[in-house]
Amino acid sequence: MTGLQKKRLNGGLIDRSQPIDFTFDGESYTGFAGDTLASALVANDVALLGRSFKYHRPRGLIASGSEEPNALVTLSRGAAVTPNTRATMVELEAGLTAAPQNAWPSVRFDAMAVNDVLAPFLTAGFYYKTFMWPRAFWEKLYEPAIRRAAGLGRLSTAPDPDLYDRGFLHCDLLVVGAGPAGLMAALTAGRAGARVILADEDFALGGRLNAETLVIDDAPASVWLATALAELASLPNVRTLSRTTVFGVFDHGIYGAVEMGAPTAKDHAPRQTLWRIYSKSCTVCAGATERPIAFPDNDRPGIMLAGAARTYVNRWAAAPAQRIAVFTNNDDGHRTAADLAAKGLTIAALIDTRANAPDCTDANETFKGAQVIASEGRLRLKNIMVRTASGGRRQISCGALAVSGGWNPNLHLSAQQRTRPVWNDAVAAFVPAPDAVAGQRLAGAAAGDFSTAGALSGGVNAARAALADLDIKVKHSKLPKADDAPTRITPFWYVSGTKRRAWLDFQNDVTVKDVALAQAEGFRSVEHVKRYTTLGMATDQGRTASTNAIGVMAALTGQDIAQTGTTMFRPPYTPVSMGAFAGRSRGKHFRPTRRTPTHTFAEANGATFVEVGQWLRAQWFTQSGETHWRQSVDREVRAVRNDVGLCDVTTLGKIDVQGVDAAAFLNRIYCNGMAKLPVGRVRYGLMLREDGIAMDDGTAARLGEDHFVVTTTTANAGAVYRHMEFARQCLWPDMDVQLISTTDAWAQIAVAGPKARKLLQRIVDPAHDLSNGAFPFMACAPVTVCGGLRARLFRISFSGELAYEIAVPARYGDALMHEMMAQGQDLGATPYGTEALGVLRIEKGHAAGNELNGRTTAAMLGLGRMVSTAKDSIGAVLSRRAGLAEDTHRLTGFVPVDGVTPIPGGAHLMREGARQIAENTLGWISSAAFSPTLNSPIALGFVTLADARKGQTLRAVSPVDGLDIPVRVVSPHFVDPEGGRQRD
Amino acid sequence: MTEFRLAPLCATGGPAPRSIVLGNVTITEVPDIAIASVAKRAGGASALTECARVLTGTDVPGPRRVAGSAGSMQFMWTGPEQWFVLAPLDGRQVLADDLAARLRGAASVTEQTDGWACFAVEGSGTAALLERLCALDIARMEAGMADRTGIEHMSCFVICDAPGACYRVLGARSSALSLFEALSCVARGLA
Amino acid sequence: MIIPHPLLGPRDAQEFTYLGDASMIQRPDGTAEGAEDALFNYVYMRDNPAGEHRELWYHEQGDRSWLVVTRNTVTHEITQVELARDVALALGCGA
Repeated sequence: MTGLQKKRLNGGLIDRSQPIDFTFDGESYTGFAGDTLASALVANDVALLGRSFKYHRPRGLIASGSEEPNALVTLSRGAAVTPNTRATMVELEAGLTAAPQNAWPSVRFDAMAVNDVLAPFLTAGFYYKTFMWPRAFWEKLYEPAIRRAAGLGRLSTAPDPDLYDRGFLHCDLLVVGAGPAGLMAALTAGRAGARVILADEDFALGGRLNAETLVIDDAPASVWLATALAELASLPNVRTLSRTTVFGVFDHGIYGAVEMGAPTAKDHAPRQTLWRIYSKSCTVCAGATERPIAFPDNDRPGIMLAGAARTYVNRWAAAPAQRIAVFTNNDDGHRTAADLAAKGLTIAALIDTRANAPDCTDANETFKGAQVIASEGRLRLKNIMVRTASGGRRQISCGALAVSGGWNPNLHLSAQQRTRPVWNDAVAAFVPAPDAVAGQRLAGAAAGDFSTAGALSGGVNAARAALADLDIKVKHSKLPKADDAPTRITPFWYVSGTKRRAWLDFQNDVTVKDVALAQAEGFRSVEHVKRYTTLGMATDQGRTASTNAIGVMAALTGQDIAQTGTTMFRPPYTPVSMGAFAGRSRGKHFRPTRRTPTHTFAEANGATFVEVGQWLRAQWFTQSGETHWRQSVDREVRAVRNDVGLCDVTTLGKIDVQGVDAAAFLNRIYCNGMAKLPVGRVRYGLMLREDGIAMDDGTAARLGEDHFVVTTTTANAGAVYRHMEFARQCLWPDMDVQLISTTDAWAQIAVAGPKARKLLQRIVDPAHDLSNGAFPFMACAPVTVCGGLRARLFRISFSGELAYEIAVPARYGDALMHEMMAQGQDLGATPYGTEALGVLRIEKGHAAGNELNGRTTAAMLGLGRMVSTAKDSIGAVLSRRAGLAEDTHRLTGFVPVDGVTPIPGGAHLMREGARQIAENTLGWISSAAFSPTLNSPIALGFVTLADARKGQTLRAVSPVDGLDIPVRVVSPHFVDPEGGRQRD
Repeated sequence: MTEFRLAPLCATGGPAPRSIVLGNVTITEVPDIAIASVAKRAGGASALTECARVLTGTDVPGPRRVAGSAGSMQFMWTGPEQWFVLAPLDGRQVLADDLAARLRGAASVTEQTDGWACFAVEGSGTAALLERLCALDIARMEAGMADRTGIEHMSCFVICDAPGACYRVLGARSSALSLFEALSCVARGLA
Repeated sequence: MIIPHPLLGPRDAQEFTYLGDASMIQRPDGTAEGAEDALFNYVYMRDNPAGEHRELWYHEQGDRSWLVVTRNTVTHEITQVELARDVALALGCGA
């Protein structure tokens, strides 16, 4: 247990009264509240944090923020294990356990470091060049080996215990980033009464104000910061979201953001929340990311970005080393020397590539017009080699090197809608293109304005302009005073003329050599170089690599950087967990469940449920003694054919159609005639798509002159309703017809079997005559049941037996089912599920979903004569077109020749002796079942020239399953083909 | 009122309405609300207006509005020339029949009582709850406003009875339990 | 994407389902001369512009109205939204 924190300095924004113990790589350490895992490791003098992706080189931190490419750890919090977590973005909390990645057996001794030696064979695109021969070895040996070696962290396969949530926020102004620019934008808009959301990825707001030693209004910036935050907290119209990354901009002012829960949050609180933010305007004040300089072996632990070095020292009071050198091409690098020296660290040397660099009084030695050309120290930096302006060599010993190659505005949110940023020579950086995204402005460093004064005034101006668009007036406020000196920079991308590799992309291990190789092989455009070398494709999306690579490409090709340009930017800005997108939609909550009114009855009666879309329907009811589903289903089918069965059919869509023109309307929707359907009658109806293909079938029941109830299949309820509304509103807006769905409002139960009437006479109140004469096949009427409850009775049959459907208000569905079971006990009343429902209709030869698969016509279904030629209806004309009319497939029946072998659904039909190839298919099997009524497997399917083939033997073949079954072509109506039973 | 021998169930599946208190939110199933849909027919505008005045004391409401007070008759806009009428269930068997008799062909009336589950969502935590469930600008909803949107893939009405304090959420009866669980799950996370 | 509904104000496109080109409003008369060709074009032929496009959206999770949205398919800017019923009536569509 090392509580020493050897590199901890005084000061910093940490709370020494709250020590926090944590574990890294099996060792225990202590940090403080306010630390990140990274800063605590720096304070504890831990420099080696992992191994690189391809070459397994020892790596340490190069940054202090979300741009960190190297320090990816596997984080454990109790049962939650998350790989590839940037140590710089982990708020330290008690019990935190982290492990380095991509190293075996340990980060100090990694066996895969052999890759570094094999580097010449692992250049860009190596897997297209090496490991290609012998070809057979690729699949069995090379690819599995490469896969095992590839990747960084390992996923835990245990269920993710974290809760994820989502939400929707609305604002007049979204401010991204709570540094000086963002704070001023939020204050400006907040004071004007606008609805403001201020989001920052950090847990402490303030941006650079927390990292630097800046002065605002003649006092340390922390004073102004505290005042600003207090004022924002007091404004009820300002909502501040810390730990929240705005990762993407979408159309019309919609932004996506992820909020991480605070470590101190309650256990049951969501760990991450995905916010969908609807903004009327947005100000992006996301700051800038520093870029390094590429030089040989520039990836050793201890070599880091200059801004990060001083952030560790200023904000977290953690020293990367006691003796530090600085390598820079701009004035900002000098600030690191000043800040570190002020904290008592030794600046061994300041190496500035500019011949006209300013002097540096904080460094032991200053080298102008010089470069760092080499470094030593495998597990930690030991020394660097400087090439002076005159060509001389000097070795400088140091434990850390702070590198500054310039700053890149974090303009990602301006570039995610296809507008690429533009190169600006003055600041040697890509800056946002003007008006890139509607309603969005940038301010501060994100806009390429690097001074603090520029950030403060930029934030105010952006907010003022945004609010002007919304007609909100901004009160004038005095601007705080701050430094406005410009940062001078001379671009310098890489040290040339050396043999050893110089890194550009640390996470994907891409070097200057790789970019040169890509160019040499003809991959010249920036998009090609990216994909060929994989530069910029890692989880850090090239935040610290891309601009340097573009600079290198420009240098190699002689093109200027503006011409070379950037690759396309896409969300997310930083990685977002899949869990955040899933939110609460996991497991059983993946989507809503719809339950039928008799669900509890079904559960209590041994039902096995099946998902039909979002519905749960009883598939069959297992009685005691039954061990296989066929026993239950066969029994249910026999019960319907011999006694009476009860089946909940609530799920089928029900649409109430009313109005003076209701009949005429339905007459255009259905291909068969509906206009003259008498009141009190139901008719089977077929709806076609406009292209002539069968769309859905169901019934239309006329309850009144201007009142119909239309039923649809379960699956198509929503689609048919949408289709009917389209016809009503768009095609025939002059028709006086109104629609509404009533699927859920009525519990509907099928009562089917020879004893159905008898049972219903005990349920339906005596005032209603159910005799065959008074209530014939296809009759319908409003009735009352069980002593006065309003209901509707329809005499329709899907099974071919004497059958009805009885509908009551849904809240009484369960009670009605119980009542019918009780009243029907002596009649053998049996609940039946979707499986038996299916067997019964197949025995009858009724088409259902399998037959209405979007490729079949009315003619193929044997319903060709239903398409009326006496009127126009949707799909009628095109159903008669040449291409469809010539199709001779017809729905017909099949039985196995041996009377025993099941016929597989989906099997293709072929002549005896025909080869099993696509050209020989005559049709396909659409539905199959075992028929207890015939005691044989049966099937329905489509076959060409069906009538001519009646009685013939064909084969049902399934090459995928290796099945080839002789079948006989028969009528599709296996039971009661005359249809007498349903009319009794 | 006729007594019939069938006992009703609540939308959430049991004989008694569900209710739960989580943090600053109380979610209560409301089973006794009658609903009918009223869709204007050609030439029916004045009859419809008259009917609304008689029943609620005011005109038919426009988009996103509810006319009348909660606890008695209300008209809620649901679409162009379409409304839901809400009323306490109260032993009344068929709200639609009553309305149809009053309107006499001026509108198509359909009984909707059993098509919907209704949950009262009350407490100081309601705004925080609803902003996690639907895209509506809850902060801008005033009393007497109602809107229809998606909550966890379910099409729902959200009626504001008292901003920041009292709302009613209506969802399809068949997914009542899923809606109740969605409301509860979010409330639990905020508690 | 936000669709500014003429009656309900700005709504998230997630509340809608998309059908396609607004030309579908003008269904040819199935009883007229040349109906098969006219309906074939109606069902299958589309301009598919990269630019301004009039298209049909259905407010499925809202008020169930069909809308005609004029949207630029390249920039996604929406310049006009009308109730499809109004558009259809103005075009003289009907039974």
